[in-house]
Amino acid sequence: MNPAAIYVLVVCAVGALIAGAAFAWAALKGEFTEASEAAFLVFDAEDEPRPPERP
Amino acid sequence: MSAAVPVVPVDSPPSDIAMAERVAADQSTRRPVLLFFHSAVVWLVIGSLFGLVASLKFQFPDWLAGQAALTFGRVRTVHLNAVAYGWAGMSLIGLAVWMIPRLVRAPLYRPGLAVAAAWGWNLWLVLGLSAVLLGYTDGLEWLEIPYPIDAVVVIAGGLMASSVLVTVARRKTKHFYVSVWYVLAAMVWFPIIFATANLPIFGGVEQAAVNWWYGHNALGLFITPLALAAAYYFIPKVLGRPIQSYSLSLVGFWALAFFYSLNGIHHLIGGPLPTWLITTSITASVMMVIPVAATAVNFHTTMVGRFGALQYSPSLRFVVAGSMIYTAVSLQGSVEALRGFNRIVHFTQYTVGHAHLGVYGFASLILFGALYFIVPRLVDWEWPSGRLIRWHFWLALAGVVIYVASLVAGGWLEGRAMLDGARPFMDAVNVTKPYLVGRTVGGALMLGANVIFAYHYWLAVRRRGKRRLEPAWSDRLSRPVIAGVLA
Amino acid sequence: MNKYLSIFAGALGTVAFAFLVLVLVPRVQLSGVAAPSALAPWADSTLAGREAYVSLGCFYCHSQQVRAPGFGSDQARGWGRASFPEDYAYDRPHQLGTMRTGPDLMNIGVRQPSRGWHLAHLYQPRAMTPGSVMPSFAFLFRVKERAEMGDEILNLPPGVGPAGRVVVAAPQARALVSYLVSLKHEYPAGPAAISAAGGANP
Repeated sequence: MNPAAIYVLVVCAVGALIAGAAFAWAALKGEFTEASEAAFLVFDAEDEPRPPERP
Repeated sequence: MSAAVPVVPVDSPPSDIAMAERVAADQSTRRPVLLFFHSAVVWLVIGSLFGLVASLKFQFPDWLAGQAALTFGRVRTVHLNAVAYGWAGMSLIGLAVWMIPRLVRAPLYRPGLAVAAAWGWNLWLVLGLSAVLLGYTDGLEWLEIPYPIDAVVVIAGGLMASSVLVTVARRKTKHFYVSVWYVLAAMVWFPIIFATANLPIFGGVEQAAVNWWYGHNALGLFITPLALAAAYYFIPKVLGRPIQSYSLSLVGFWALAFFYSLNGIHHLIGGPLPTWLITTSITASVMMVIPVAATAVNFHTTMVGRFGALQYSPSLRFVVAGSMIYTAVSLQGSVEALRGFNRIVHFTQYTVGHAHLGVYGFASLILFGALYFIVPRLVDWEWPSGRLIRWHFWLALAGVVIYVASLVAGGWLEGRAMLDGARPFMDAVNVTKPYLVGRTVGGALMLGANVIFAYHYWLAVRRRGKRRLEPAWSDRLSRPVIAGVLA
Repeated sequence: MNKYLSIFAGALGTVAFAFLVLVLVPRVQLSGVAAPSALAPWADSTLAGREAYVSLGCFYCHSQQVRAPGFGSDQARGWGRASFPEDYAYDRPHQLGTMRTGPDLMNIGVRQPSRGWHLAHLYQPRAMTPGSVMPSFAFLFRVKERAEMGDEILNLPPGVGPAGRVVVAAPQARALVSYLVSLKHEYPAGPAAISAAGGANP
């Protein structure tokens, strides 16, 4: 097997572990909650009358 | 705008406070954003002119060949840098500076920094492109401006980024809207890739890898995220309807960040680099279908049932056209990266067509849409002429379609001829010639569209024409204009 | 997302990861590959010409990378053997190129060793290659009443060039041609280079 491929595989595996851990941390810290509320940030005072209230 | 920022007592109704916040946000960004936009429009015209000259030189190779400054190699370089960094770069930054205070509900921190940044960015381009015409170049695509001059834009960019990043730190919102993620990420990515790639420490094929890690990321981690930030803002804003799936936006963002950054070496397929490296970039290029599909589904489901709004809003029309082209050009790119296809079209005009579909068809159309929305709010004056807007839209679209169709067809035939070892090389040159004429025609239409836009922009910011109470587009409408659907 | 840090760290992480994979890992892999002994570093006589090549933007139409057999018609066109990383050891900036509006030049010194041909071709490409779209570089030349000692005179086909006078190459043209005719990579590729590339590329 091409030696460089081994380096890349190791780097990718470590990277995937770090990314997975980061994702888990973010989920536990509530980064992904209330997402639909965030979607309404694009509207502001000039958009009266407001679009229908979110559920 | 001479209206003072309203001072509201703290016990006012929330909507009054919100309105005051938004006025404060808009007031704080007015000077820098206008400066970025004025500059961008000037670079658009200059860059397009150089582009047309470069294209005409294929029909008339001895034209303007009397001095070194106007040789094709230098004219082409000025075209690319002027449109990519002057037009696209500056208008995207202006757009980002305008959006951020609105989305975080806090005024721009020290607008003077952003104003200085705009002057610095212009200085960089004037010095850098003059240097290129005089023959000083770093000799790398997308990085031609001599690296000592690049120090100017690193400083300018730093000033602008400080202003924006501190503004975000002082936000009044709990969440970040999706456009804010893209803007922040672009402000992390671009300085890193630009500074690294310009360091004079690389050589040989390693430098080629750095060159194209940078070159593709200038598109993928700077132009694309900022243009997508605009689309995610204006589509819901004009429709009065929130983006359909926030979760899909998350997928789209992180998949873009991860895959796009690895694409760069697809510019060197078949080249003198390790095979695994090239395969990595090809794989990442194909995986781009994930973020692109996420974005396309998100925009489509937000728009569905409301496509009629495209009749009423030029902003929406330009932004939606640009977003659809984003899907098309990205899929085109994924296919182009496959070895079997790349073998034919690499080194041909096909790639040039693809690049223009991306920077003009995707990014520039979205930018035009954004400017049509923003400018009246900055100068308190509606665009004077609905007719000029329509001409702009159709010329721009016709121009880019003719341009890209010509080069995609011509490039394909060029590649087939080149692959056939039995045919002389000149066959590949001769077969492209009619398509290069098509390219000049498309390019001339795009230049025409850009000049019309620039003229209209000047009329708007100088407040020419009669004062309108409603946007120019409503000229042609007999039915009442629907709230929330106006540009 | 709510946290500044998430976006910052994530963005930094993705671009750093890409740099690691696309630049640093290959750097480590190729660090063992030395410049071939048969490849000469750029000398004064060829470096000035290379700088002219870069300054005039020749690489926007001409590549300098020969592809592997089967991947293109490069060998059938006599463009030389497939190129390897070690062939570019002294190239700063690299001029690999991404367009072949004109032919690949990696081994042009082998294919077209004639200085006279190159000078005439630069002065007026269509005089040597009918139908060419290459720009003319007449500004790299001087027109004189008569040649002087040491001048390199162009041998132009009839009708090309001003009647009754001579066209001579200015220093930049002479340097550029010296560079072009020096472009030869006929020495065999080293085995380390081939295996580093993962076999004959791509």
